[in-house]
Amino acid sequence: MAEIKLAAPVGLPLDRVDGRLKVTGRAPYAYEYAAQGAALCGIIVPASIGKGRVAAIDVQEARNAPGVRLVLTKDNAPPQHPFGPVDLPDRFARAMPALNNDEVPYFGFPVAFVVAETFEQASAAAAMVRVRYAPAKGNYGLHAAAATAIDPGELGPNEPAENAIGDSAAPLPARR
Amino acid sequence: MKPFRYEKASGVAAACASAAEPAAKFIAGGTNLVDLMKLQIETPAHLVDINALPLRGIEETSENGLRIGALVSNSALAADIRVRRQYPLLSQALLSGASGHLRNKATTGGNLLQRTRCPYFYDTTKPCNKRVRGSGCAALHGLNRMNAVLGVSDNCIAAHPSDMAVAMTALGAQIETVTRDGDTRTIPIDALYRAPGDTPDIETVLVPGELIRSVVLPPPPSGRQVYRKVRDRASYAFGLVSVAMIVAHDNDRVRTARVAFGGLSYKPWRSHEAEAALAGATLTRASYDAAGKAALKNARGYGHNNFKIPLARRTLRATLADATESI
Repeated sequence: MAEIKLAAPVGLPLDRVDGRLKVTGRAPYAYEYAAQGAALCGIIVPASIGKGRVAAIDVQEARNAPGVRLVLTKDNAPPQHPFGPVDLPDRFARAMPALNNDEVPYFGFPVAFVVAETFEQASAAAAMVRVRYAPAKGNYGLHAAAATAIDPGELGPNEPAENAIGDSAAPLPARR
Repeated sequence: MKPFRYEKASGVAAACASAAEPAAKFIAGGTNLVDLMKLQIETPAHLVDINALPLRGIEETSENGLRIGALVSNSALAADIRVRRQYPLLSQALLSGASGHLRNKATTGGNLLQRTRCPYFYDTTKPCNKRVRGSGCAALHGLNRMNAVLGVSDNCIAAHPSDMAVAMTALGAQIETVTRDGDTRTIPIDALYRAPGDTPDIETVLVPGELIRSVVLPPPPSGRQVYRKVRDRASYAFGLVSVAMIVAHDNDRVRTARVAFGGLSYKPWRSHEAEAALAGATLTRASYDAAGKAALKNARGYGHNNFKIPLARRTLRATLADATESI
């Protein structure tokens, strides 16, 4: 086989033409080229419980905070398709609605979305959203939930689900 | 957003006077405080920037020790040739912490005073006695894998996150401070931190306006120095358990040992129990296990962090084996 020689510039210590702009934070992001004026910033308010529902949400203070343009919650979000269905062959095609009802399926699930003129204003206003929850019993451990686990069969086309229970300690050397 | 005043201090006395005002805080590298301010966990009304103060030197003391200015960066301290030659433990500990970017900004004084990374301290939707006195401790029955197992109380089980301070504790460092009245004092590093008790929001014995000027290392102790840190990934992660060890030994016995643990308590945990067990001990697994047992005798797990107790014993043993090239 013929000897392979790396042609320039591969392997050469060249300066990147965009290097200085990037390390000094002056390279524009795609959104900064937007032609419709300055971009707004949105911040998600995540649920602080693991399972339950939003009983009440008070956005008055957030809405009146400096720079705020919009506060979206279950009370004013546009209608969306409900979540799922879970057995849709292409899982990436599942509807993933947000703020469409008062349910909190997991910790960190979005319960509000605050849009403001700057990131800092949006963050500050998001911290002003007051949420009252009605917590429900959740499942927080794999072992506890194992009995009710479902076997999906496959994760997608040509992607069979694997089920195997092993003994992770067995191949490891004796505990020291 | 919380408005605050920002002041560049021109001298030590002026800095202390300003920082003694209510809700005022010193800021140096800002690698912890600025993050906490963004999350509104720290909400100072007044920041006193001390970066212009002449506290950036490292000099030898008349006792053949080293005096480290409070503003010496973690990077500069780790790279100092005197530290690398005589206190390699400290250099190792510093380089095991954070990232290159953070170490360039983070200072010696700030590292000592950084706040815990307990997840509930950061989550303002949860009770935390350290953040809001009397609100409760969500970590006690929560996700407490990173939390402490020694010396804490049911009011707070937060662990101190520093690596540098663990090495300094094993080295017997002294903290030099100055107050707003111009008084100076020297505090052994082991006495800098206050046990949580029922006021875990008060973390040190420093009074408002008291500034750490320097950290003094005594002359380097005899023996080999090793810092061993066990963490979830090999870089840029807080320690689950770490051991700072200085051990002098003969062919078959330990002469003297100094042991400090990180990740186990509200402060770097100097284990006089382990040191006593190791003095004169044979270089055997049985000796090391006995030292580990003595060190963790009063440890208490809170569920997710139970593993820290055996892990600390094993890390101590591995560190001893490494330092003495035994077992």
